[in-house]
Amino acid sequence: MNTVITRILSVVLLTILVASGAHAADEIRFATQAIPHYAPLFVAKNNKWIDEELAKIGAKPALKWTSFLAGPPINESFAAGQQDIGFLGDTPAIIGKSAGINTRIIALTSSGPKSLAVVVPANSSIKSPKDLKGKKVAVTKGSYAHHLLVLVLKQGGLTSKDVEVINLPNADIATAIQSGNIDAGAVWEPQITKLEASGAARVLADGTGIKKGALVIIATNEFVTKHRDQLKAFLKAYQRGAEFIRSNPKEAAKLIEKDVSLSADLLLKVFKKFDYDPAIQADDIAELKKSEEFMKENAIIKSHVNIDTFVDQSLTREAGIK
Amino acid sequence: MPPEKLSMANDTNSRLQKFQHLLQYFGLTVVLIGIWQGLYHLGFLNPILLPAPSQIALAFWDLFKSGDLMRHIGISVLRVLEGFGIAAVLGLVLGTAIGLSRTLDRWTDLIIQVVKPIPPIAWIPLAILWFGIGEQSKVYIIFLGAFFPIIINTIDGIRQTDHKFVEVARILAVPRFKFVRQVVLPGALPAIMTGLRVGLMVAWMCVVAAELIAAGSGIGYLIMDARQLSQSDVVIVGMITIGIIGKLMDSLIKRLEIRLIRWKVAFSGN
Repeated sequence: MNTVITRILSVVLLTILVASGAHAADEIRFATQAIPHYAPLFVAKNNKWIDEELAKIGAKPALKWTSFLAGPPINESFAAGQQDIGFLGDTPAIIGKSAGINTRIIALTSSGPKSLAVVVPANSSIKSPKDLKGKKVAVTKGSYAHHLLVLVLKQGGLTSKDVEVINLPNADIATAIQSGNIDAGAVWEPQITKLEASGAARVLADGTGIKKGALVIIATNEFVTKHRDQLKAFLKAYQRGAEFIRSNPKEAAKLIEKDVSLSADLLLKVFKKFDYDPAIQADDIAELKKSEEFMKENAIIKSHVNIDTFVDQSLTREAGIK
Repeated sequence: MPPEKLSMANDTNSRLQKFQHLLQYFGLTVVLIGIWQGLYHLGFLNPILLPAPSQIALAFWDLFKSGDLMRHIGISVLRVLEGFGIAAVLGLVLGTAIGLSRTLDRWTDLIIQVVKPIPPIAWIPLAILWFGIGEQSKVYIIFLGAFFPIIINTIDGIRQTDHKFVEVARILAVPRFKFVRQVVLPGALPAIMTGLRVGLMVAWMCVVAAELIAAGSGIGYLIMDARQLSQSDVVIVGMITIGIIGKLMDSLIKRLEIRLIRWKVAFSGN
């Protein structure tokens, strides 16, 4: 009887230890999404530049990659202590921080006002944002496209209470638009290009003039403290990826076709929508503050996030990225 | 001991016993919640992974005050009643028919046995394709959950009809319809009630699965929405609400069951 209890207790203890998501020495766990917004990451990964830059500082951690469908699931994974570096929109990053996840923004992945948009079926009668009144609009709640939707509605003098908001993942919104189940959807690339290419939908309004569409790289505070040099090496590799896309877009497109599930020729078009510079500028910080205010006003976050302390520009500066 | 003192002693004893029972009934819950809150104040808890009872109570109060909680509950209950209603009608009718006819049973047994184990969640992709993302697909998922317990228990209940009654009915040449209405169905009632009770419970449990389909309201939606926004306290409020409403529904149907089959207890008593 005693041995049985001891065995059960040790299994329970082991499970708790394993489940606590302890960070093993010498590994970096990346949380990514398979979208063209993070193209430099995939370029750097496929060209092995991340390993190169890490080797330059004498580090050889194992690189673990997990792909998610959107920001909110990445937040969950960070909350469970399972990730070190994450790639997500500004909106879910702020939501995560507000909920108490111990992270900071260390760089931008990209920005692109045209990379997110409210789309409608090609033959829709909706011509301007005010026509959305009373319609069924789908969006991934808590994503940066959610913010865009509210801004677009505001342009038409509406609020989210004036439309029927339906929560759907990005790819399902595209399907729902094609099958005519919804009247409009707020989506991000590659869905916009895919829908336009197939003739199923057109853009009603994108972020031009209202949302810069910045996405961010976050890292846990613990990782920043323990492995500052590895982070800087990674950022250098990311920068190389961004430069490669600028100088050799055709090659880059071919290289990362599979990573973002978009054919090279469509990807070339999409590249034009993005600015892949990872440096955080003053107007980016202003944008982030606007996003945070929006979320607090709309009860998407419950407690304030101090953007000035959330954003850490020191790492990009020290890595020589301006 | 004088009789008055004895009865007073008995009263005190039974009151003490009632108090003891009350303590036992709620004691464990109260102690666990106390420990939980204590761990939070001592800093052992990560509020995203497990919010404190005080945070959950606050979230519950906010949702209740704004009327949102009652609205979501109402919508989910409506969906469950719709799905359960359809399942009850179809399940009772088909179950009775299959129970009474061996031939029909042989025709339908394979399909029922194969489809029964498929969990309602697995039906979601087809449900969306067939019914779209509106109310119908959600009601369909709930219907599926409730249907099989009801039909299976109805069939069983009818099969259970005591052989002796069948013999006597044959000897007395009782017309089939009268026999079914006055002997078979009442005899099957306990099993049918069990089926309905289980069906209602499963229907309620399917609410979260059903509301995964692009819902804009409902308790299941509340949970999924809170998940997207990393609001674990609201998630737990949703879970507890589901539990409480489920318990209330079960108690209601248990009362109905006792009323309907009271005759059976009385009859066996004689």
